[in-house]
Amino acid sequence: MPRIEIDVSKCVGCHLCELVCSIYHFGTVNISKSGIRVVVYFTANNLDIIVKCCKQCDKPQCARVCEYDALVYKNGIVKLIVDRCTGCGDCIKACPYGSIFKHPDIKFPIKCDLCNGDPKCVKICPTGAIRYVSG
Amino acid sequence: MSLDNIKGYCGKVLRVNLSKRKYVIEDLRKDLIEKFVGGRGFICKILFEELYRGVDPLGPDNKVIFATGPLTGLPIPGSGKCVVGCKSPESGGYCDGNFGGYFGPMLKFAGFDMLIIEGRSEKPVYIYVEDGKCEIFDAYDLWGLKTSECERILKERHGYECAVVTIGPAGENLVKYANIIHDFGRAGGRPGIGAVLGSKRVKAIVVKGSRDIPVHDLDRLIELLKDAINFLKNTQLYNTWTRQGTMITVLWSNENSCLPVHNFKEAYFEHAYKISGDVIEKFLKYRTRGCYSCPTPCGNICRFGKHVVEIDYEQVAMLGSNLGIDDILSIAYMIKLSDEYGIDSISLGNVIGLAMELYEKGIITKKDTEGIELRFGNAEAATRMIEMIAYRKGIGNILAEGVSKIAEYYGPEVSKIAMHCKGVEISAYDCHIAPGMALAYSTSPIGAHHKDAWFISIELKNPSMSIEERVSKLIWMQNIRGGIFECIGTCRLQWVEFGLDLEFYIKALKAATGREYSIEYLFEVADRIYNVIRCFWIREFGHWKREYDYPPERWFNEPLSRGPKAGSKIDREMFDKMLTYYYRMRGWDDNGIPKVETLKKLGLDDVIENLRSMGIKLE
Repeated sequence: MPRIEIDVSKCVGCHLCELVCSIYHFGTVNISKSGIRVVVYFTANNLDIIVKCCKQCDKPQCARVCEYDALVYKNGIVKLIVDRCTGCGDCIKACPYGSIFKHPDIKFPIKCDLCNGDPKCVKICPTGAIRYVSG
Repeated sequence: MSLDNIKGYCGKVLRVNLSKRKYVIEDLRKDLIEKFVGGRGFICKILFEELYRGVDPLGPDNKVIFATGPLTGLPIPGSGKCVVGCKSPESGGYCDGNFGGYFGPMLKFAGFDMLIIEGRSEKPVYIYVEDGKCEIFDAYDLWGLKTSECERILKERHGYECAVVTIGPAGENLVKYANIIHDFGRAGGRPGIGAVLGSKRVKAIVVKGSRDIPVHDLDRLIELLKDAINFLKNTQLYNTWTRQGTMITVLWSNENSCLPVHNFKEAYFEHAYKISGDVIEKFLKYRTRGCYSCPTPCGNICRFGKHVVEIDYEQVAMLGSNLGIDDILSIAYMIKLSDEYGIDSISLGNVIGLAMELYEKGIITKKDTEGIELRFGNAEAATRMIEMIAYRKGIGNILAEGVSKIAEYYGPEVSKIAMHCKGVEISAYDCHIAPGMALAYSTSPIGAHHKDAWFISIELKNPSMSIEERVSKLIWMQNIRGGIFECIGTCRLQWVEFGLDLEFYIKALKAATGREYSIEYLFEVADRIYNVIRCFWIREFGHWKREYDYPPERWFNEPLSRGPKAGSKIDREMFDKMLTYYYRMRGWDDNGIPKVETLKKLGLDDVIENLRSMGIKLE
């Protein structure tokens, strides 16, 4: 099934993936409008980078809780049908990976749609930490 | 396109007054955009206008300014930079520092190009900025914490996407070279910006933003970004750089006899390999980290014992070879401590180096050090000193004042071996063999620092340059690094290390703002910045003398005794000629004061008037 795979050990935390995601999907420079998120955790003894991005689950919790059938699992992708979405935010709460996001300017949830099979984050990642698996 | 609908900037400035516990939002002045572009340009002009002569750097009337540039936050390589500046408590003059990470971009996402902090809070506070709003919170629970713990607590409280700047115990205790720490180890503000924030009782600044940054031509920017990444990744350096970052410099410096050893007495370290990038890469490094929008990440994240720390060249040279220490684990631990306490590791290496030399000369005794054998090579002693300095314990109270004040305290003989320019300690390139680099330090607008001109790289390649050539290349370099890159809001390393063309930045500026820029225009801005900062210093001192633009005596008096360049020192006469030529090329008089015609040409009539009203004579 097509999906984004991330090798976090290679991630340097440069946020370029978030940048191009927001540019491609919303035509704006704004990393909080991105379907992929890089979070750096640091304590005195450790540094961890976590990258959150929709895993296109085959039994998606987000679709299960959506009362309006706005999220559909089809051809291996969890697709958001914007017309049906009311922006209730149930899917955001349901995602076990915290990989669906909201933004005050945008009525519907923001999640990875794999850029129609040509993910922009994969192309821009300078270290090859993000990979596209097509099937 | 007119300035009215210029893009790339947010157009707003947040001004926080701690004394009144209030904030105002102002429009970003068009004349600043036009004449000073951003970053350091904004900071130096505002500080010149708003601070009065003789303002107490640690009093309520000093101001700390965080400023971004038009490219900050945009899809451009290395656009994560933010510049922070104020009047320095260490030098008494102008100071600023830039730091990477993602604080600058986040400030713009929150809707501000600049954050100005003024006044002084009675009690410890932290400043919280989110999407066009600001709040001041009490920070009793954070005061006293080390930087990483403070940042972690604030991120748990406000969300991990926040950008946090903190000061450590050194800033709270007004150590004169306390800095600020962002993103667990990105440091900035060498000449005491941490102490100024400490004096204002600001423990931290937290910024969270979710707004768009306005851009003129996004498609073009993306095109430029892709081309730049393609170019950078295909350079020869790319592989080594991302593996070792600035640590590649250790062996280079040593081979060329410019690695500081024993308080800059020598420049060749027999054990350099033990503290080199190869050793870091093989034994300590476990991942690379980069700043915002950086395709050429250089952060060496190292793990040892139960500690994690980011290591780069300056720190290893200053706390390693300069102290005669070759144990990389001890050095890594010292770097960790300086980050946690929020002390600038470059100045720290100078201070401890000087203290060690004074101890070996018998000027500082065991009684002063509470029994510590403060000799070169003693890593444990150096480590203990860091804590004593951060908390101003015992002799740490004197050492916390910086090498220039230490020299004043111990007498004129000591000032000959105190390594600083204008009160700010030398960074990690020794200059016995490099008179041009010495001039770069001594004319750097914040006191000795390499960010304005890493001239040694050019100088070593062309050792037979004439004085004129040397000086004109130095000014060219200062104007690019200290002028252009300090104000457009990006990192300079893609240009310095990889040779990304300056034209690239011109194109990026046009795509970002919608205005036409040219190299000549930016050079003029750089010139303007250099002149305003120089006038800031002159106003503070009330006059100017050539000797203020001199490097430390050691480089003239004591030739190197070891290594391939043994016998080298700087020729005083040659240096003096270079300085004269430098003044001439900058349009300054023979005492280093800008001439009226120079300032007029740059449209700085207000600066002329201000200096004249203070009774300062201009030629």
